Amino acid sequence: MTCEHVTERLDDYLDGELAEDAFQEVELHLASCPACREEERSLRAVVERAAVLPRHQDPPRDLWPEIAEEIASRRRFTMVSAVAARPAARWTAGLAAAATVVLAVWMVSRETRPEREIAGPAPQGSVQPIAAGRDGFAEAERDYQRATAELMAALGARRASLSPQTTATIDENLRVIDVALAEIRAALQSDPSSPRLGRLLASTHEKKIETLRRVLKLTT
Amino acid sequence: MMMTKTTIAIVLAALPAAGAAQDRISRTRPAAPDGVVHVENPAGSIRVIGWDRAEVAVSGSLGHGAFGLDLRGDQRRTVVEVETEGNPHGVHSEIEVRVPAGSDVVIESFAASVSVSEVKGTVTAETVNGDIRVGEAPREVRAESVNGGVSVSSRGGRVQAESVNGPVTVRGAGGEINASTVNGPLSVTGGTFERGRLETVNGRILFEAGLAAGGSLDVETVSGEVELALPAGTAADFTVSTFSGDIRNELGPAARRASRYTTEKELAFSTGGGGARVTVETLSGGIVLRRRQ
Repeated sequence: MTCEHVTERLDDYLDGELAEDAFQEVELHLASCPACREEERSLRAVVERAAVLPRHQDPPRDLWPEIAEEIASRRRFTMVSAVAARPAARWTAGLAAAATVVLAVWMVSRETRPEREIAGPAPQGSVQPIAAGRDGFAEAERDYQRATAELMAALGARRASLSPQTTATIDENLRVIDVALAEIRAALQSDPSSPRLGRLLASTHEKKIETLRRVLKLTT
Repeated sequence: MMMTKTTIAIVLAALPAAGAAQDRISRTRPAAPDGVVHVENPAGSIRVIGWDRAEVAVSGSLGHGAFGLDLRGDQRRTVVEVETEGNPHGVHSEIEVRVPAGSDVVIESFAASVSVSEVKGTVTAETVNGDIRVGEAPREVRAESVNGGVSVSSRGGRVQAESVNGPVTVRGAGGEINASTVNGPLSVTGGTFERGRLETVNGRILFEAGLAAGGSLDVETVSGEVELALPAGTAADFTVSTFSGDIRNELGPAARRASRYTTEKELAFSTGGGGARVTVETLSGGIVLRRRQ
């Protein structure tokens, strides 16, 4: 069975709707294919999170215009200040990652809403570039914080199954990252136009998201 | 509270019985010399060793709560899985898995210590609370832990080693390295790298290794200390900066303040005519650049 075949069957696999032989084939493939296993875990995580979402909850705000625009045009947030190529790419990757999480959660909540509620939101507006300086960083941070909050919620749902030692370790390391973020913000207060600090802020947010993702993945 | 002699005697008498309740296992099945072996054991230990036979052999003991060992698959893919009932995280099984040396190995666990040696294929290992040790010559290593340490001794290829809280140690590797921690120290010693990316939030970073001509090394931390020790004659262009840490440079000129209004320091210089690219960025972590002894 190829990766493509497995991907096509993952929904049914997770729903327990595959016949025994197909189930065994998928399971065998997943056991030896890290990429498909990652796909399966991601899908399972989304399904688990969907299961605990209220059926009629709207997202905190309508994210569709931004997301649709992102998908349609592949436009990316960019820093206005002159930042070298690599750091700019890091901003982009980070925000894309955050947007991916937001997108996944939004899509789940969308799928749990009645049909009449989800008909509609057409792509509109455009994603504004992020300017350096306090306002720009604050806006970028909101994207990261939104993504982080969703992952924290998913982690919260899993805490009961983790040992006190594990949860203490996770909490301590998240605290370390939060302290680091606070230190970077303090530095930005004294030098709001520093592209290096902006990159470090984005990179540290990415580490928090990556840490949460890693914990969620490894504890599944 | 003191235990009575009677209580101690009862406890001691019970210990051998508990040990005997663990199931010894010894199973084999044929496998291709370059297939994939997937090993899953929730807790305890996993030891994977490459050998020159075309078979997978599993031995060891299953812990209380394990009801069997599933050894299945075909020549190309072998699955070794400790089957448990109830909460698998508390089921401590000790297994040793011999695999054809050319195999790719995938290991998943929650709280097992993992060691891999003499495997030449790609090694992928994940655990939450255990240490991961990978030795000798896999062509690629991907190891992730939350609370455990990750230690890789590999002669080449590509290494991706990540831990949230534990130390990451890479010795004698080469090629490409991507390593990160949040709080744990990160150490790369020996070997020569074409590309490297080392990141922590708070953990100390030590890179005491070579950099290939035209290679690149990016190091980033918020508050961890950074120490780069490069061989004499390294041809590289350095860009080093810290917002509030100190920079000690034994390879070239001293750092200067980037702005009269802030504490930020930066340093850009070349050694050996330049070529490879080295960047180091910290917020408050100190930076030391020195020659490797």
